[in-house]
Amino acid sequence: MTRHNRRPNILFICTDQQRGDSLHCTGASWAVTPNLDKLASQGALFRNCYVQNPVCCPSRASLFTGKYVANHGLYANGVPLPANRKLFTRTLADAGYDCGMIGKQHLSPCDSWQTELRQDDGYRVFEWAHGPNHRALENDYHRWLRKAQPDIYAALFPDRGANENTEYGNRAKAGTPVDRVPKEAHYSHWVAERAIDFIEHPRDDAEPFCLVANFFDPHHPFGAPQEFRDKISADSIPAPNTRANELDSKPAPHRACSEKSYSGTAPGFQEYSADEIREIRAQYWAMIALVDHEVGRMLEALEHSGLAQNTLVVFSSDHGEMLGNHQQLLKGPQLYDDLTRVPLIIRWPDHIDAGAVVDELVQWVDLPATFLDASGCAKGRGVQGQSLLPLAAGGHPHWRQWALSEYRYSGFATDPLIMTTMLRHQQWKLIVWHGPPATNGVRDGELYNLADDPGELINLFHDPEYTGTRRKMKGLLLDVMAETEDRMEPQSRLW
Amino acid sequence: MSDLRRPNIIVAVFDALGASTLDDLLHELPALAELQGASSVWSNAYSPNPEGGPARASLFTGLDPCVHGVWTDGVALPAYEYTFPQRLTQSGYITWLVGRRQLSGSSHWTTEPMRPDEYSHCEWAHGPLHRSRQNAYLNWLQETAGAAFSAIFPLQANPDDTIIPPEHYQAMADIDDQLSFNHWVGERIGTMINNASTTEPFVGIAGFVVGEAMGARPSSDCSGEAVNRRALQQADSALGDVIAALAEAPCDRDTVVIVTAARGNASGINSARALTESQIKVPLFVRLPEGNSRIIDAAVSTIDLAPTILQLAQLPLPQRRQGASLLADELPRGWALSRQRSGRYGWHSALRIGHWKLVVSHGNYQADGSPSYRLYDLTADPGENNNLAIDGAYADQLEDMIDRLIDARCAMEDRTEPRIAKF
Repeated sequence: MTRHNRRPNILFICTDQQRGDSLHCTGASWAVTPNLDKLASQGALFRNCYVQNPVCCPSRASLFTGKYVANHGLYANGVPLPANRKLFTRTLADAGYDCGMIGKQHLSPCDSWQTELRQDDGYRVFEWAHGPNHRALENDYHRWLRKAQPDIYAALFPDRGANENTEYGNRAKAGTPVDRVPKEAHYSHWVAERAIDFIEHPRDDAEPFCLVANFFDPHHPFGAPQEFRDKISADSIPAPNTRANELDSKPAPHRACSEKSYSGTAPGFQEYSADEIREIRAQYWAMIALVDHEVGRMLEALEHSGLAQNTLVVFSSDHGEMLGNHQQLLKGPQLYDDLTRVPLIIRWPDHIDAGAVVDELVQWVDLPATFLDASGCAKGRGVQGQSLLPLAAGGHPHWRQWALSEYRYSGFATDPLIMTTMLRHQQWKLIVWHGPPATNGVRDGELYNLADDPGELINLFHDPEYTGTRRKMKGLLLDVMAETEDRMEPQSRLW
Repeated sequence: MSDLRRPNIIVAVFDALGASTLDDLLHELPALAELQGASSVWSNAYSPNPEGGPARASLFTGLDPCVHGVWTDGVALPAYEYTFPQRLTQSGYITWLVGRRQLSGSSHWTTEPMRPDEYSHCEWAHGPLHRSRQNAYLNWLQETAGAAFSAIFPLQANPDDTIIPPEHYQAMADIDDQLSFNHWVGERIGTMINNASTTEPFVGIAGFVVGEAMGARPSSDCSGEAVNRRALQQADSALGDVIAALAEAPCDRDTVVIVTAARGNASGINSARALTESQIKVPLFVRLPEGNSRIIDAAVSTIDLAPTILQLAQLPLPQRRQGASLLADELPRGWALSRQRSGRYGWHSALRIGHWKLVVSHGNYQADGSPSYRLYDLTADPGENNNLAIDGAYADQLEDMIDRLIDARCAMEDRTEPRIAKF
């Protein structure tokens, strides 16, 4: 086997809660993301990548199974991934890949400090930590911190871990102590340290690796090491995107999402002063600067080990963050681009032109198809997405013209349960707030023209002038819902 | 110890029989007429799919076709799903199947594999013209009337040549009543009733076949598959024999009798008018021991039947189900969703709610785009002749039904896994 024909390594770097527009190269001129910008300049930058769900578990389940949320069955945080779901890492491991996961996985419940149930995931290395404040004894970040920085660990966690305090991080208005530790003790640093160790692990040439490196940043609580906060000028960050009386034109639950986050269990936008919002926005980009710094170290190690040329590097995030826009924080049933559009960079030297920019609508379910395509593995019947490699390499004549995202009371539950569905097509975005028989909520909707209104401030859903567009988008949604059903079981006989 | 509270249950499942066809012919079907008169009748019961395979998978699991995965004919029900006969067998019921089953593909004379614990006793036959070696009816026919069998099937079955010559179709259709498929179904069920244990309850499933194709080929390539009136009369007579056997049965345990069809009439499935009432509205009536004959007009689905049977058998309803028991205290669902996802006949979705019905024929989003709609007011227009979707005066009603269809589709997604934590 010649070196050129070797199967590529796969390095998937995934952050948590990072908006699509949060990088310098995606429009945030105030962001300090030199390493990610450089990565984008060396590969393809996808500017319209949508996740299939705006919260962690269901979005990640779509990534690992390649299925839409309606099909993989993990429709909400706190629901275990049903049996009989195949993870792409299992397929890669079966094909001889050395697979590992470092950081947050979240494919089964982690509430009340519980240890995540291991899936049939194919990982040789599984260094798991649901988050920096998660007090499971199996939290590998804490095990590392206890050894690497015993004084910091003892100061942060003097007690044995209080079970009733499981939503400690969600309730914090600003960063918690563990978010602000010096970078050498930080969760994001730990992810990079362990990722570098995995990358440098001696391997036979015929055994490529697949590493899923899952950062917790820039997930709230909004806090970062001072060294990185110092890199961000709060003055250069624009005020949140909204307009006067915006909530009056939106479906009623938007107001509740503004008053309180996480269905009433976490502080809401309206509980913050303008200065506090300004500061958490700065902290958000400080976390991103920290992630960028740590990603830079990982990519340097990859370069140094001589593997960069034959490694597919993908950077993305599981969903976005409202960050004060539309007078809201965190995430929930809202399907604004704030939550559904994520960064996506794919670098694969010799296969993807440096500096490529892709504006087609792509989806997170396409990532496992891409990994499997690059590895030479068959996609398998379960994966519903399509490989992005042809798009990245110059185009695809029949690429799908829509993106779908489905919220199914996926975050903290409410009564009545909230379900929303987003369909993006051309410049239009339809968001359905479902009613009976799906839920007992009030049926409503949103319609945005992203060409004229990229900030999604003007809801055209009830505007008589747009009745035709609204109806056309609903018809397309019916077609897309049919298109995305699971027809993976083989038709082994004619009848 | 005998537990007389758990009733015996007989379930007659017709392969393809529209509700309106049964109504039209009821005057020549005395057993069915009498049974229906003594039953709770759901007059607006819908199959979730007009194809037999998906419809039966739903009937037996209580799941929508999008969830159990049998999206068209020829797809096998995944091994990890549970059917209600499996749950009943595991709970101590003696379970029988005689006749059609159709939970996996049967073309090319393929024999269906059985599932673990599915039936205590199974005499499987996809239909009288289905030439699997395991066709229990044909084995019975060969043994009972060798000459008649040889006249219809002079040659060995060839799985690569499954076209039945017209004269053989005719010969089977003309066979003596006492040698007919449906008579056999009734006779075997009757024998099992006579020999039933007095200590354990039983469930007997009678898989009647009344379509013209008789299990040889589905309707796609012939001119549709209308109901064979004679076969229906033979099934009626067989059901009469079963009811008589129940009356004579040695056990004084109560017996519930259920009549339904997996799907409506198969004729017209390949026409431009998909998901007509004729194709998806099916008979559904339940004779309870305590009587209580009544008519329920609210729309229900055959996915509600498996939970109903589990409730009758006094079993807990499983988490993995989407149907609701028809005998529950709550009102029936009042809506029904039906979808066709055939590679041959295209994709169509239908919603019945109140007296309104919407049928969407899905478009190709990359070509001409838009789906086409048919909207009917079934009270004013039960024959679905007046498409109100093309009448601008009904544009708001059309959009309301589109909204409800979007919501119904959302309601039928797979959310059967329990939420066990907040995150």
